[in-house]
Order: sequence, then C-alpha cells, then structure tokens
Amino acid sequence: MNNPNILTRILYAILLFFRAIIWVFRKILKRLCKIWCNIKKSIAQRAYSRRVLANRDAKGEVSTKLKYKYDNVPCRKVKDTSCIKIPVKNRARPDPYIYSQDWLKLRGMGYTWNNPDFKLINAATNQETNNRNLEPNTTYRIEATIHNHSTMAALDTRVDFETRSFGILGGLISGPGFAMVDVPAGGNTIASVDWTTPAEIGHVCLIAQISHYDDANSLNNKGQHNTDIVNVGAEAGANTFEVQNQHRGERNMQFKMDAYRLPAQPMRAKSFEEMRSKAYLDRLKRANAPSAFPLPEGMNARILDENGENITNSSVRLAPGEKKILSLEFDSSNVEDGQYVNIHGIDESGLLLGGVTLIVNKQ
Amino acid sequence: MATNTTCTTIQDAGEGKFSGLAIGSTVIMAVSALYLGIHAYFLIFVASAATPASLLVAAGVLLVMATAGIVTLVELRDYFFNKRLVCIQEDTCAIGQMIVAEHNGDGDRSLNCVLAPADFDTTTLQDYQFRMWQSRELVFGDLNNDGQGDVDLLSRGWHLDPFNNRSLEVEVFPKTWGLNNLPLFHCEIEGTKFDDWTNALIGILSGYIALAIAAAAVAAVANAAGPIGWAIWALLALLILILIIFGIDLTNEDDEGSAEVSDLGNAVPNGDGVIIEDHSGNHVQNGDHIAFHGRHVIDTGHNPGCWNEIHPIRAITKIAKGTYDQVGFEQKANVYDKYCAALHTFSNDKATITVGLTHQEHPGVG
Repeated sequence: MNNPNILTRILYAILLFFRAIIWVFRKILKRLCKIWCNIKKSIAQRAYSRRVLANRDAKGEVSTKLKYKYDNVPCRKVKDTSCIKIPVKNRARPDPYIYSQDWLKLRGMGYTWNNPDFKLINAATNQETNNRNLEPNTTYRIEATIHNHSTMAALDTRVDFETRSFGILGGLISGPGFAMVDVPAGGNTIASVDWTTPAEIGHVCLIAQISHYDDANSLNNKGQHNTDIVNVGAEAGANTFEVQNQHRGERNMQFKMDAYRLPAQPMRAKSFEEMRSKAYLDRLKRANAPSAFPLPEGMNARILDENGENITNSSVRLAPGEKKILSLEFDSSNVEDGQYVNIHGIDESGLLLGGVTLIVNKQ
Repeated sequence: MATNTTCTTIQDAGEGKFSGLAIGSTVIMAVSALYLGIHAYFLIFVASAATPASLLVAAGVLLVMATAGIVTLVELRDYFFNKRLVCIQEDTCAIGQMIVAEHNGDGDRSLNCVLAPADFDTTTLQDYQFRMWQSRELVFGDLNNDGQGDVDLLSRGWHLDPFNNRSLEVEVFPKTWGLNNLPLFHCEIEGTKFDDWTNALIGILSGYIALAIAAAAVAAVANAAGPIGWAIWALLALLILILIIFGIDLTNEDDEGSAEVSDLGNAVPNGDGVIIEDHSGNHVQNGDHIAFHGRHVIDTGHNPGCWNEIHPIRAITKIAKGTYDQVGFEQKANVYDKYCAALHTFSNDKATITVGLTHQEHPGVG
C-alpha cells in the first residue's frame, strides 16, 4: 500500500468501478421508463382492440375520436416506415449483362468493338452474315447473347435493339424493336429480333440495351458491335468511319487506339470464392490491360479527317448534329493478317462516346 | 449464429398469455424486469462486499436469482422461437405490393402487403376473400386447406382475424388498403434483436453465477489478505463486469456482403455473384411490387385473433407492375410459377449455380 503506483492504480480502478455503477443505474432508470411505457401501451392496446371490435363499421373504420385517444399513447413496439433494408442474403437481385464496352472501361480493362455476343443471321438462308455490305429490303435476325452473373434468374428482361451507321455515335438507322427474355441464374440466353433492311443500306453498327426492373448492376447493360474489315492495299479513303455529334452543344472528340482482342483462353478462377477475390481481379486486369495491347510499332496507324489531316493526337470539333467521315491509314508492311485496330472516341471529360474495331485483311 | 424461428402444430402452440397481456408485451417486460432486477441486485451484491459473511450470503442469493433468470429466459426463447408460429406450408410464394413497412420491437422487419392482382379502387373484400386465388389461399386459407375455416384455431379458443395484424397496433395507419378496406398480408424478415438480447442476458446471468461462486471463494481469501485483497477483488469484479457488458455483440448489422462501389475498378462480386452498383435498390419501399417466398404460418402470438403470414421471408425480388397484374385472378398464371421457381432456386440451389461462376467479367474476358 506504500507504493504510490499501486495506490494510484487502485484508486483509478475504484473510480472506474463507480463509473460502471453509475452506468448501470442509468440503464436501470431507462429500463424502468420503458417498462412503464410498455405496460401503458399493452393496457391501451387491449382496450383499443376491444373498442375497435365493438365500434368498427362495415368498412372497418373507427371513429376519429377513438383514433385520437389511442394515437397518443406513448411508446410503441412497431414503427411504420417508408422503406426497409433487406438483408443481402434475402435480397434476390439479378444481373443481366452483355459484353459491354462502357463497363469494361469502368473496370480499367481493354475492350473491342468486335462484340462476341452479337450475331446477324439472314432469315431466308439462316446463315450468319457480316454486319457490312447488307442487302437492301432483306430480313435479318439480330441475335444477342444475354448473360446473368447472379444466383437469381433475370426474369422478364427487356433487350432493345438499334441499328446505327457504322462509326462513332453514328446516325440511327432504325430501332428494330425489343425482345423479352428470361436469363437463368448464372447462365445465358439469346434475345433476338427480326429486322428488315431499308432500300439503302450498307454497313451498320448493332446496339443492344438491356433493362431489368431489379437489376443489381445497370452499368454493364449496353453492348455495341461495330466492326469493319480493312483491306490492305485498298485505295486511300476506303477505310472510313463516321463520327457524329448528337448533342445540342459543340463537342470535341479525341481518339485512342489499341490492339486489344479477346484472349484465346480466357482466365478462369478455380472456385467461386477465388473468382470473388481482389487477387483474381488484379490478375484479370493485368491480363486485359489496354496498355498490354499496343499497336505494332511499325504500323504507324493514323486517323485522317476529311481534308487528309492527321488528327490522331488532336481532336475533331463537331457542331451540333454535324457529321464527319474519318479514315484510318497505316503502313501495312509490318502488320499481320487479322490485326485488330480498336479506335475509341472519347470526349474532353473522358466519357466513352463509342468506337469501331477495324480488322486488317491482307488477302 | 442467430437462432431462427421454427413452426409447430396447433396443439403444441404456446398459449402466449401472461396475466392477460399479449406475449409480445410480456416478453419485453419480462426481459426488462430480469435485466433490471439482476442488475439492481448486483449493486446490492457489490455493497454487501463490506464483510466476508455478508458477501457469502449475497453470493448465494445472486446464484439463485441468476439461475432463475436463465430458466425464465430459456422458456421465453422457447416460446418465441418454437411455439408461436403454427405451420401451414414450409415453402410458399407470394406476389404483391408492399403497402407499409414496419420495424418491429423484436428486431424483425415486416412487410404489410396486398396480394396481386388486387386493385385499390375495384377489388371488394368478397372477391379478395373468396375469389382471388392468392389472397384466398394465403390470407384467408385455413390450416389444413380442408375448407373447414378456422375450426382448428377454434379448438384452442382462437380464430382467424386477418385484420388483427394492424388493428392491434395503436398508432399505425393505414390498417387496411383500398376503397374496400382489404386486410394487409403481414410478412416478416427475421431480425436478431430478441435473440441477441436474450442471449446477452443469459450470458450476463451466467457471468453472475460464475461471479457468485468466485465471490464466495474470494471472500475468504480477501478477508485474510486485508485491504489489498479487497482492492484486487474490486478490480476483478470491475473487469468481469466490463467484459460481460462490452464483450457481447448486441449489434444487429446485416452482412452487407457486397463491394464498395465508389471505386468500381476495384469492386468484387458479393456472395450472389454480383457487383451491386445500385445499393439503394436493396431497399424495398412502400408501393413497390414484389415477389417473395418463405414459410407460410399462422401467428398465434396475439391470440385470440390470429393471422396468416409468411415468416420468415427467405428471398425477395422486385417486379414490374405488369407482372403483378398478370398473376391471375381466380387461377394462378404461369408468371407466378416462374418467379416462385427462381426465388426457390436463389434460396436453395446457390451452391450449384456458383460452381459455374468462375469468371468475374464476361466469359470471353475471364
């Protein structure tokens, strides 16, 4: 007891002990109030129930006076609310999606406009067709594979289709319509519409937009299929694409190019749990980083405007509604057959406006 | 691990009465009284530590009180979890519109719904009770689906009163829905508040038993050791108290289980396989059209007026108004089976589905 350190500690412990006692007292007082309120409420409820049963009219209404009297009983076990949060384990939310360039950009991965989820089929021959050089007044079936990454099925999923001019923000040719599909949990299904081409038709961009009432992730719902074959040795200006400004104000469009293409052997996790891990995501991002897919050095790919001016590292200014035709040129000697050239149109804020994928054909 | 409710037979259902008061109030009051009584006595127990003899007596009384408290709590829990809900069907499904949500005193969250395809203006109580197949079966259906009304409930002196689930609550409005005052179908997502509190109280009381036994032993030693012994004893008691009070998790947090989406580039999927971009969509708000499934039971806890409900809700999804309208009036339509099957799969076959989900992005990416 003569040791001041021990004495101080003991005094501090006693102080803490009394603080704990005060805390318990406060709890007791609070509980006493609660008990009193609950007793009052229980008695009032019983009385109210009896009065309601006795006074309810044909529509179950009770008098305003009775309502007022019992409305003012304090303390309640039930609290009405406008919304409730559902525990995640009970909340069945589907995630219908398509190969979406917008989503992959958000995720920091490379992407191509040669969308693997689209097919264009000639309805008469049932043969798959390329999306360029379409025949006029012919019916095609546009098919899009819709996936679902959730353990809840994506029922009544709507898929809207559009066809646009080949290019970036190309003009609308038609909205062929929509399809309703049920996508199984963790699976996929095909949404399709028939589309009859107009009298003048050439090369188109296909767009599918998914909408679902309870979609967990609506950022991966828009997919575009926008490809062309670039023939080596074609005359200058042949490898063209359209850019258009559909906004009310002027817009500067910048361009980025890369050679990203889908991996021949896509990565897979060993388990569902591994798939959900950050480590798997990091590996996936490394394998699909756009910087890992540069254009060949000797290709010297460049985008030219209508005057033949190189705008690869600058931008093109578009007035509202203005349309321009741009072209891609490159040195073909160091390029292999099947080389991808992804051209991404981006505005000043970094927003992805659209893009095209040109595939080199050396034959 | 939270305790979940089970359902029982009408014969084995608890009476749910205590001194003429409903079980809900009784449980709350009993738990409060236990909490208060034991804590109050704990103060006396501390004060009694003045002499070894008084401490020994106090320890004995505390031992008896704490044991009695645990027995009472176990009884209450048994009624609350096992003898309150009478089974109708283990797994059923409903499509409806949420009219008003409730936070309940026991930690449950209630969805008071009207069942499809009821219409606010035109659906009559007659139609809702006798013609519309969903409400006929789920809200007004009897225990054995034998068309015998509430004969089974009457055997216990109870009766089916679908209006009772809201009329019992004094302050809540609306109590019914539509121009023709249709009863609301009361369904609950189980919370853990009652379970947490009663478990915590049992933990505290168990601690008191240990403390009482230890105190009796320490009393003799402390007496021999003098003032230092008493100080150590006080410190020990304080530590035990703090451990008991703060060592038990009384929170009622959900397992969010989802990614932080402020940085979409680094978000990873949750246990359902999805990156939830729209977290506010996890809420269900009044007016939403919903499909859900769970156990169909009769809640007898507020007898004599009992009501049918789905408790617990195991899975819930939002649907479009168009789907609500297509459920079928007198006969169920395919859309009902389609949604029910999907919800059932979500709850029961998750492990099978996730086997194939080994790609985080599009299958062509990986």
